[in-house]
Amino acid sequence: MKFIHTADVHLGVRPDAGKAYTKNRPEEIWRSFERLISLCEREKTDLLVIAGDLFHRQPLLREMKEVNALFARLTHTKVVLVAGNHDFVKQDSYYRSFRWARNVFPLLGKEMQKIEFPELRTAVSGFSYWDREYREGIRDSWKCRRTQDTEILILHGGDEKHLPFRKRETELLGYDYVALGHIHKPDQKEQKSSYCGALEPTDPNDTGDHGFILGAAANGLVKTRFVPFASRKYIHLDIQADEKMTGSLLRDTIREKIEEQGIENMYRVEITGFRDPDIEFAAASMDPYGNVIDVLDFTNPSYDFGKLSAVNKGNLLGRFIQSFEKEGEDGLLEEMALYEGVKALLETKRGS
Amino acid sequence: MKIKRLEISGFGKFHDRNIEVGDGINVFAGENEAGKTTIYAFLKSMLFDIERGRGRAAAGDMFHRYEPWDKPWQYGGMIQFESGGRTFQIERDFTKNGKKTRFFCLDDGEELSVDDGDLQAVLSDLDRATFENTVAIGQLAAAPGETLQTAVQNYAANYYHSGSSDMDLEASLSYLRERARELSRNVREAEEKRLKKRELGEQEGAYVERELTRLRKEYEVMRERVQDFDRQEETVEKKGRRFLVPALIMILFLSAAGIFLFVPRPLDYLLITAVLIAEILFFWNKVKMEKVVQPEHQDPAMTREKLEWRRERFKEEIREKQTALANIREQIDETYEIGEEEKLLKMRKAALELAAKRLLEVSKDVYQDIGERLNSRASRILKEITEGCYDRIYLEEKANISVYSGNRKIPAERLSRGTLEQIYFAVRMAASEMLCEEEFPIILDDTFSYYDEKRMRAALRWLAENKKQVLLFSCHKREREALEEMHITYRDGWS
Repeated sequence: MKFIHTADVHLGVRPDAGKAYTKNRPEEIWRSFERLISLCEREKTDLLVIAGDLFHRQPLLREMKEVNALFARLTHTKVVLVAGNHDFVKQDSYYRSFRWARNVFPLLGKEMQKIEFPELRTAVSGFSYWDREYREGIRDSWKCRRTQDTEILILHGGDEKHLPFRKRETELLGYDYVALGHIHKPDQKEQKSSYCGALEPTDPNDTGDHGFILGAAANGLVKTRFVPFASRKYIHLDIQADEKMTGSLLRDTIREKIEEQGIENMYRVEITGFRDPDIEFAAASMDPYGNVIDVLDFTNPSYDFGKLSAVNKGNLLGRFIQSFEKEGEDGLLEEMALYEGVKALLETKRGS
Repeated sequence: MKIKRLEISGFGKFHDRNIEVGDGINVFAGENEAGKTTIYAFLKSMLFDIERGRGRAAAGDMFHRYEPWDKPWQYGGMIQFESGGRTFQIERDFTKNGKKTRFFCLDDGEELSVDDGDLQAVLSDLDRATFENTVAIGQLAAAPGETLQTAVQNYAANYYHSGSSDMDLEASLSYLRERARELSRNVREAEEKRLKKRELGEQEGAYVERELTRLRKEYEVMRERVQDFDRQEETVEKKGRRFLVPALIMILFLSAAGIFLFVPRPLDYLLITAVLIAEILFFWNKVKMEKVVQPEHQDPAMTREKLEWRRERFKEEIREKQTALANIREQIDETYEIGEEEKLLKMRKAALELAAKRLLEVSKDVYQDIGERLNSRASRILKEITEGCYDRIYLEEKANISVYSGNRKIPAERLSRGTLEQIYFAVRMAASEMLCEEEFPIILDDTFSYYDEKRMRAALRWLAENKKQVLLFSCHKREREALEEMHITYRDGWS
């Protein structure tokens, strides 16, 4: 029995993807899901498991029809899906009334339910969100009551407001495989209970590879493997500045790194370290390919506080530095204020 | 610290010129162009190295100004000075690829290093700026847009609040304000990006809402039409089928019975048949007419099923749009979340505000610890050099300076230039005493030009009594004459 585990496709999401890619990104995510369906057909996948948040918000009828038309194309694959916290089964949700294609088996109940596929010797259990949140934890009654060779459980959540659980707990329920959804970061190492992650990254914080989990079950043994599939990645570029770094040098460094890691990807640039006190980096000019989401400049001027403090003992500068040496003055805000104040005093010195 | 000897191998107009500097007052008098400023520049360059501008600033820097024009390969010299009881010598060569700077102690010949901070240690961290702003006193100079009176005020206020000659509290604060303004612009840009998204969402929402209103109206129309349809059907039934059919049968029966009773056979059979046929035809027509006439004002092709189907379509579209609208509202709500970049910018702005607040707080401490003492010392000096005319300097909030003459308070704008110069002198002298651990030589560059004879003499007397070493540059002879008349020994610097 071959299966694919996906989740958090977030159809309909419009994520920030930089000047160059933001406009077409929603369409791209649809195309990606389409590619996944084609892959199921080509590979004769037996089962497609969707562990929630197929849609980013309440699905529209036309979106559902669109998705259903894709499912209907599958001649071999059966589809099991649940609704997650984003596309939860609202009072008047189309989930309640929609007539799915014959190969689609939605588990839309509020309570755990099980669907059996004797021809695949497989059973899939799961339930859907009926609300934005699900604050209760895992229940004893969810324990696996084996009726088929391969027992799969779908769970969506894993944080405080969405079915709080520890992965170990889900493993102890006795299923052969737990298909997890909600957390966008995939488990790339094989585990009995795995997050497949979002099919495509949908937020600048969804860094690294994204894709789905490919699984095979034989003789009650499930083997899985993460398959990268997303068309773009979010990458956080960490750039260490030093006193020799200038604006144009920084721009070149960013350009080089982006070229190295692919201009198709989307970047958040974080600059840390120290810079020449005379230099300010202009964040706006650091986006050569239109794929930089934001530039976060955490650099500080390279001041030698020990020396400055000693030379200026007792005067305004010395005392200003000293005032930040007290307890509770070591946060990021205070550090920034210290640098800004020292800079102001030194920049406005007479005769300089 | 005391300066002992200067040896100029080449600097500006001077070549191989040695100058001994003694204790007490050393007078370098001479016409313009005599080289007084050059000596001062040489002294600074020996102690703190020569200033070299970079790029465009290079044209007017000290290095280019004092590069000897006739023998440029000989550019530099030597200074000997005494500090902490020991005598030191610095040799500097300013030519390109010139010799390395040497710095050593003449008492034991120990070679010291300028780069490693030995010189700074010996000068007790006096730097060029402090030297220029405290030790050396030129004429009161006003910055562009500044009157002399505000120049004195700013100088004193800064000194009192920063405890340093070169720090400028007001300028620092306005620097921070300017940076905050700049950041506000960036924050606004980031916010606008976010607002733009919200605006687009709201536009989209408004569009969907209009669509919804339209659909609701259409739905209502359809619903009414279906109702109308049903109502009409009912009246047709009421008028037609319910009363028409029994009446028809009754009439048929009665007419048949009547003919049977009153018309003899065999004509009656024929008549009945004829009458019945006529009657049936008449009523048939009537029923048919009624049925056709009633729904005539509507589209005859519009069946009830079609109307219902349309109504349901509108209902479905309304639901779809309602879902879409709810999604758009959710999307709008998300634009209230602040992005990383915006968060960082806002934090930076908060940091600038904290820095400014802290600077003000600290400056108040400085004023209490240093400013007040400085002011009372400066007041005493002023009293001496004005021979008791002004006995107290008073610095108000917002850096308004005034002096007291007895109980009379005189604001700075009513003081003469000479008096302003004297306040300036007093503050600087007080500062040089308080802020430098070791007493440095006082360097006066045409300082007394605006002093009247009496006050100049008082100032010279104060210097002779209070200062170990004074270098006095002047383009007049009046200082020398006064010193001689007051029997104060001095040294002619040029000799």
